[in-house]
Amino acid sequence: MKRSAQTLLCCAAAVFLAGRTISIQVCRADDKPAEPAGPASFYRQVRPVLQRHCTGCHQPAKAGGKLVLTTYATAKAGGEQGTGFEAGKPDDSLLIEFITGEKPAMPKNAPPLTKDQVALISRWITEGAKDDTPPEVQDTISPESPPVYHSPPVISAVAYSPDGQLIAVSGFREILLHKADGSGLAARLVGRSQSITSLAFSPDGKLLAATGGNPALFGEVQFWNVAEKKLERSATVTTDTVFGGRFSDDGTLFAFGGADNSARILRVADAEQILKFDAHADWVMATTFSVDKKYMITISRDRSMKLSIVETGQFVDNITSITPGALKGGLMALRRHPKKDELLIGGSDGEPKLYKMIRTQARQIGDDFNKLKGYAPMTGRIFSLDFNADGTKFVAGSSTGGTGMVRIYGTEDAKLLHELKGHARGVFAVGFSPDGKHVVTGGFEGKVRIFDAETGSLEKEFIPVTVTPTVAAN
Amino acid sequence: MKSPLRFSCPAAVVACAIGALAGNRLIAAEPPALPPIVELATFPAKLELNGVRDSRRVLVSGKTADGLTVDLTIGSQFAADGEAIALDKDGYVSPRKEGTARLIVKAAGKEIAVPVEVKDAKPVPVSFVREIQPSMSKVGCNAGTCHGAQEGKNGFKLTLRGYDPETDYFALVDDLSGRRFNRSLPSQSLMLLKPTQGVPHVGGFLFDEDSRYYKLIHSWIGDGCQYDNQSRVTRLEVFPTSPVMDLEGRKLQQVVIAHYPDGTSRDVTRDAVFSSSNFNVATVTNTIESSGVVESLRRGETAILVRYEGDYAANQITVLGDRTGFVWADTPEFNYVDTHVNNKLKKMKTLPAELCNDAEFLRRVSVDLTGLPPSLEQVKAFLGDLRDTRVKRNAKIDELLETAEYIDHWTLKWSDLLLANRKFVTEKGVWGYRNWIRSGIAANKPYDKFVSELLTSNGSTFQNPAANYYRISREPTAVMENLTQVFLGTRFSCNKCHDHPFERWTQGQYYQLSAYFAGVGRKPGSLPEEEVVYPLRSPQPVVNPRSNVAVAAKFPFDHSGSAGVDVHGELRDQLSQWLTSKDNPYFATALVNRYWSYLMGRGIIDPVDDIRSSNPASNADLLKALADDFLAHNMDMKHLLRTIAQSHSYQRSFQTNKWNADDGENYSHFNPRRLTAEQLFDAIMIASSSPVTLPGVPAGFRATQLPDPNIQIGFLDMFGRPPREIPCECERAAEVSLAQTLNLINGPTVSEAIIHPQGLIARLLAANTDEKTLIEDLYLSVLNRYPTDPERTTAAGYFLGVASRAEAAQDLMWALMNSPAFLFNR
Repeated sequence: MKRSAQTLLCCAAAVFLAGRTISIQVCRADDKPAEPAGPASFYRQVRPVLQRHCTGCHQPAKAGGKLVLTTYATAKAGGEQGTGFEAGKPDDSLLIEFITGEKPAMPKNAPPLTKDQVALISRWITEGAKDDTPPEVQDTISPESPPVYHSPPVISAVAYSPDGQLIAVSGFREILLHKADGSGLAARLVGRSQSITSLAFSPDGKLLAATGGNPALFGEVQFWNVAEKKLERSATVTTDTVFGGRFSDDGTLFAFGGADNSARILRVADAEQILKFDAHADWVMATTFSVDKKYMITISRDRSMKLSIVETGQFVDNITSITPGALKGGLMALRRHPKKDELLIGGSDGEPKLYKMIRTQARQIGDDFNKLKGYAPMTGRIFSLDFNADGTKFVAGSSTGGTGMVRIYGTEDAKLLHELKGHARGVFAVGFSPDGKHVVTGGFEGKVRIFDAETGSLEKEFIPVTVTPTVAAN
Repeated sequence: MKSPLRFSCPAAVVACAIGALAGNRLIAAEPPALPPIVELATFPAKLELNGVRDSRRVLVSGKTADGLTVDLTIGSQFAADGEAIALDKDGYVSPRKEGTARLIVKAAGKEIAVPVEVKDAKPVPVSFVREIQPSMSKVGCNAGTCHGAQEGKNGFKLTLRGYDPETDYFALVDDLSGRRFNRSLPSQSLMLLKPTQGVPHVGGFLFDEDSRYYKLIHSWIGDGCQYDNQSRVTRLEVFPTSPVMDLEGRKLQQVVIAHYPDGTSRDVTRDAVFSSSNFNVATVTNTIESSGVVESLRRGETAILVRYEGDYAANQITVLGDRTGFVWADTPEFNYVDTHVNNKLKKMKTLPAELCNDAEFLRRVSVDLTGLPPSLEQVKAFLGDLRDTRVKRNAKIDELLETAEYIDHWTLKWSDLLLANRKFVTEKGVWGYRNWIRSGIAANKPYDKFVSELLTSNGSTFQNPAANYYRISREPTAVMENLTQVFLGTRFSCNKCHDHPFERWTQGQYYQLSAYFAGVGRKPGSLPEEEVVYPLRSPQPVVNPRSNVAVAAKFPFDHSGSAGVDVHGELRDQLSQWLTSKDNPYFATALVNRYWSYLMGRGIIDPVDDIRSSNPASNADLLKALADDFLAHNMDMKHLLRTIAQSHSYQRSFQTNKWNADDGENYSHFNPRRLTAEQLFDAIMIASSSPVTLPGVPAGFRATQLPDPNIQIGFLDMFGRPPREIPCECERAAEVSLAQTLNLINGPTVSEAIIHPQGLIARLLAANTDEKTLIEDLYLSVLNRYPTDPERTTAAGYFLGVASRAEAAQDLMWALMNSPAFLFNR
């Protein structure tokens, strides 16, 4: 009797357990079969398959199994397991091995490639695995054939040359050198990077450095010879754009931040990387050096400003408070006082703040000891800051997304000196002229505006590129 | 799938459940052949296009000789006739210039011409709100697992499912100084390179350069990435509405029409996001290539949930399956409940079960209305009552509704919902609160009055225990979350941090509704542990953290009674009037649905506290009829229970027949359920006649009568007694676990009750009861029925084999208590 009752009960439990089904929904569009006409093309047929199904994981930023499938060369080189493929021998090619079989190992956690896709890749290898990638895919831009604009590009960086004669303005694939009085274009510096994120002249004015790159592809630091309008050196770094470049006061070192959460220092003389600093937890948006270039200071979307030693790369301190909630949102703009080790920052909370660099008192939980001053908050996020030559004033630019704001503050007395009006949309870049008489701004609108820093009035407004109207696309 | 629970043949049940599981993975074979079509029709019958981006498609359906309508859209051939329109590969008609044209449709060997009128074809810029944002939602950019996650993904954050277009716009154009678009060369914009995998994208390939989305985004960037203040959709319509699909393996195209406040509408089928609430019954496509196509997989019902631009709709899909041989047999209808239930069963071609027998009815109705099974004497009396069964059943219902046990049982239910818990209100407070609830149940206080007394309560929580409601929920938002879940059956807690993901409730409404409780003050009273609830002279403002602005109180929706709310009164009075109004469509509905679920095992909307447009009622007419009747009877809860209990639907056997075995939600048969923790404990004590002694309460207090869960009884917690911390029905666990099974087999609760010296067995043995009566009484007391002849024989045989009579009787009672007939209400 006992046993039969037991059986009954266990069955009841079994029914309940069986009633709970766990299902996983997988939705994915199936690709159309490739057409087997003529020899298989790497660029037009194989590469799209890799792009759609493989390069999410096998890309420079991730490199699963140390394999990168974004280019022919890296696909051929292979990864941990060996060479990617053997031309003419699909059966000896790892690439084929991984995507075939009863339960193909790849793509991981996704439906296997279709028979047609596998057949296509296999056929391409059989036919010799040739690289038919055109030398400059879709890229018709060069110094000889500079970009043509149908609408003004967003301005993400501006800088005055130390002699006050030029304003460098970011463009698309180029840097535009304008005469500082706004009277016209002096030169176009066309390079490889689509996006220019920061511009800085060397203290002697001989070099113009730009940080930038192609989003999600590569980062680049460019050093231009200003006199000859020639690219002196270029360093390709990381797999995404780099930001916030700054020379040391003696012009020998150049620091910048990256989307890989790192900050780096190059030797200006040969663009050789001498330091990589990895203490940040999010993108590093701006950098600078101490007056004596012993220290590098970096800010990040991780909400912190960090101090590190240039010589060793050693992390010294979080200059800002690390109390949770003390900092609201990421930091985006940083400038060091031209004369001393005081640091001006701006970011998501819209409030410019001044910090001293070196902590002179032990940290206590909850303190913000190094903070010297806070300035009247601006609306939106601060994207850019710049001191005048003696550090008595600074200019700050912000964006709410919808509108922009530019202000000049007195550094010491924290007074709001001028509000520079006329910005219909967000401001991403501001700069003080070396003589302190002018301020230049740029942003979403794609317009350069020059203001009188003494009166706050607009002196000049122009679009830095020639816009060729286009017939409206359908 | 809900497995029907049958315990007469457990092996068969398990086999059936396993078969059903395996069946889930079956893919419908070749689609069944279509019956000959006699007439072709399109929906709509003519098209009108009002703007350059107003593209529409038609649905094609065919009528068969026996009157069945089948969808022919997929497989139809379309051709444009006229210069005014263009036809794309999806079968969509778009305007080319103003004028008229025709769409030629060919299907099933027939042809039909649909007149098209293009009223407006002027070029306009692509709209961020109406075109870009929906594109991103459709391909999943703003999904919770992607950039819609709380921290976004890889530095790029969108609002969850695009509830805030303005924020998303700024994320796209303002973050990182315009990194994500490229006005100079739109094709080099990150927002186009990522989804096409032109650059590496962890989120994968989403669309190619030839797709509609690519062209829309390209054109929007080329136009300068402007934001437009277009109004968002106000209403979605899905066609065909609530279709019935005859067989498995059929495909049906749906069309979703979005309506805007300016009176315009759009066909948004391709951009809406679809999901099936029961993908064992039917799946729905949700890709760029195919959107909104339902495929029937097995007999049953499912709701297709449609989401577009923050609005939601559901379309009920019925798959009949092969019902060859089904004939409806008329079954008694005891009241209007049965009419509505049977109408649904006829539609589903499901045959209701027979009326359950008197013994089953008595046990069921006693447990449901009083929380306790009947005693041995009550069973004998009821079975011996020779009146017509309906007469005596109705009399029993009336009798039970007037018992003290009824009061205890429903006090427990409401104490659960209102979170009576000494952790929040002290021990003294919890008894006061319980007694206040009790007095309301005992007086059968109309539901609106009961709720309004709670909401408008003030004063000492000891003197006016209703005020404990505000002692338990201590913040305006906490009160509001409790109130919406308990009294409106909706979950507002979702929209605290973002707009509700499955319903139109917004984050703004969360704070506006909370603001009604901004004026509730709490201060210590003169007695120890006493608290006084009072109206604050200057209310603490309720602030929406997203805007950092204090929010004014506002109802989340208006009903025809809201105009009558006195807007000069205290805020809580206003809210109470609005909430408990007979015109509030949610208030009565939520209650009748909840009570229905208590008796029928499943809400008409289920879960009962998750009412939303994407969780449709399985029988909307029935729900409305119950709510109307409840309102017509002054929100009388006993009337509601009586009506349900008197219905044939409630009194159906749990045994299924060939035509209802697969029914889980249409009430063709009774849905068995495990006794709740308190019911089971009390049932063991009643069945064994063992006296109850529980800690911390007077002797004889049953588990049902406990004031709160803070009286430690391991048995009750093991069987799912709710801790009363959240006002969710889900807090009471209903599943069966191995630990429970082992406890019943080996644990002290059952064994000590069986061998108790004052228990039934001890009493029967002391009276030298003959073996036949002994066996009979054990069955009557435990299973509340007489044993069958084979059971008598088996039991008598067992007694022969055991030397001790006491031990044999104890074994029998133990076995009966461990059987589903005892453990389940069925």
